[in-house]
Amino acid sequence: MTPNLAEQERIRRYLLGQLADDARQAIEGDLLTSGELFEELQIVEDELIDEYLAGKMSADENVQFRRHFMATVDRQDKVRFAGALHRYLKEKERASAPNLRAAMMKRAWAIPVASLALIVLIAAGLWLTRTREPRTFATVTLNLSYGERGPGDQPTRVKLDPDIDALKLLLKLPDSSPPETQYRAELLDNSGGSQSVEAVVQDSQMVSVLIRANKLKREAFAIRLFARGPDGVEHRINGNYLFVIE
Amino acid sequence: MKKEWVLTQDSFDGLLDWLDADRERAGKAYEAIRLRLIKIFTCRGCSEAEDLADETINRVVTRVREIAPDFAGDPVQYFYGVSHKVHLEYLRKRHLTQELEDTVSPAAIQSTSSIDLAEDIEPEYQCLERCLGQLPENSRDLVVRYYQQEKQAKIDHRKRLAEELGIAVNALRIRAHRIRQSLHECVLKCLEEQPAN
Repeated sequence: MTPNLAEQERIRRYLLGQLADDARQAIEGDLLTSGELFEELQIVEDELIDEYLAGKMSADENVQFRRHFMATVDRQDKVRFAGALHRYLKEKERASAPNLRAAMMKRAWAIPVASLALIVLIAAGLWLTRTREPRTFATVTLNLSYGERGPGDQPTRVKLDPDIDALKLLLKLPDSSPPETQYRAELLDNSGGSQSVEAVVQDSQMVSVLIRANKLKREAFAIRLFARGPDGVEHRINGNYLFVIE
Repeated sequence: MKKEWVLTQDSFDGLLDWLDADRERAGKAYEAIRLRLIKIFTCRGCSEAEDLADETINRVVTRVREIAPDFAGDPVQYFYGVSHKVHLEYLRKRHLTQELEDTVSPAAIQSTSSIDLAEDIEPEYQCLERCLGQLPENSRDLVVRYYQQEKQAKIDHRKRLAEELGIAVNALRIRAHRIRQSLHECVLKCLEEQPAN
C-alpha cells in the first residue's frame, strides 16, 4: 500500500489524540484488520518522534505530543531510542565534515571556480524565470482538511487544461488566524517529496499560492501551511489542503 | 487490571479454531490481534497496554465456545468490542488519577518535557553503537543514509537513495523503518542485559 497524504494525516491526528470518537473508532477498526495500516502507523509514529526531536512541530502539536503521545513508557523508550539515533547521526556528520573541509583546502582553486559557476547559474535561472512568467491560470479554493474522513475532507479534484501555465490555489485560513501573520507553504507529493511554494496573503481569511503546471503530475498533493507571527516564531497550521490533479 | 484467570490449553485451542482452521495461520492471527490491541491501548494513552490487551483476549477466550458457532463476520470485531469494555473499566479505575492529570497546568507540562529532553541517553547511545555494529553493512548504510540530512535536503537525499536501490520512495521508507525497528529491539535487549546501577 502506498499511503496517501490524507491517510497519513489521519494517522498523525490519531496518534496525537486529535480525532473525534467516531473517527478514532474507525481507524482502530481498520488497524485491527489491516497489517499494512498497522505498519504505516508505526512508521508515522517514528516520523512524529523525529519531528518532535527536530523541533519541527507546531506549538499545539508539541503539547499534544507530550501530553498524549508520550503518556506510556513504551513511547518514552521510543523517544529515548530516537534521541540516541539522532545523536549518532549528528556525530557521524560532524566527524565527516572536517574531511570535506580538508579536501576543499587541497583544491583551493575550486572555491572561486565554483562560486563563479554558481553566480552564472543563478543569473541564468533568474533570466529564465522572468522570461517565462505564467500567463494563464486555473484558480481553485481549498479548505483545510483534518484527515477525519468527513465530507469536507475529500481532496479537491483539479483538471488542468494543456494551455494552463499555473495553478493558483486560494487557501482558506482557520477562523482564529491572527492578523499580521506571514505564511510559508510546502507542496507535498504522493511519494513523499516536498518543495517550498510562495504564499501570498490575500486578506485575513485567505492565502494564495501559485504552482507552475509543469510541476504538477497527475497525482494527489497536499499543501502544508506555516505561520510566522510578529514575534518571529513559526508554527505549522494543523491540517492539510488536499487536491488531486486529474 | 490483571485478573487471576488461567488460560487453559483447551480454551486457547477454542480461540485458535475460531480464528482459523489452519493452526499456523491461527497462531499468526492471534499474535497480530494481540500486538494491535496493545498498540490501540497505547494510542489511547493506557500505561498498562499489554495487560489490557491480555485481559481483552482472556475475556474473549472464556466465551469463545459459546459465541463462535453463531458469530457472523470477522472475529477481530468481537475482540474490538470487548476491548472497549475493558478500556472503559480501566478509565473508571483511573478516574481519580486522570482528574489530577487534567489539572496540571501547561507550564508544568512544559517543564516536564524539558526534563525529558535533558535526560541522559548515554546507555541507549552505547547500546545503539553496539547494535549498529551487529547489523549487516548494507542495512547499517541504509539506515544511516536514510535518516541523515535535514528538511529539503533529506527529501532529495531519500529520492536519490531510492533510485540508487531501484525501489520506490515508499518501499525505502518501509525498509528503513523495519531496520530501525530491529535496531530498537536490539537496543532494548542490550539495555536489559546491562547491570543496574
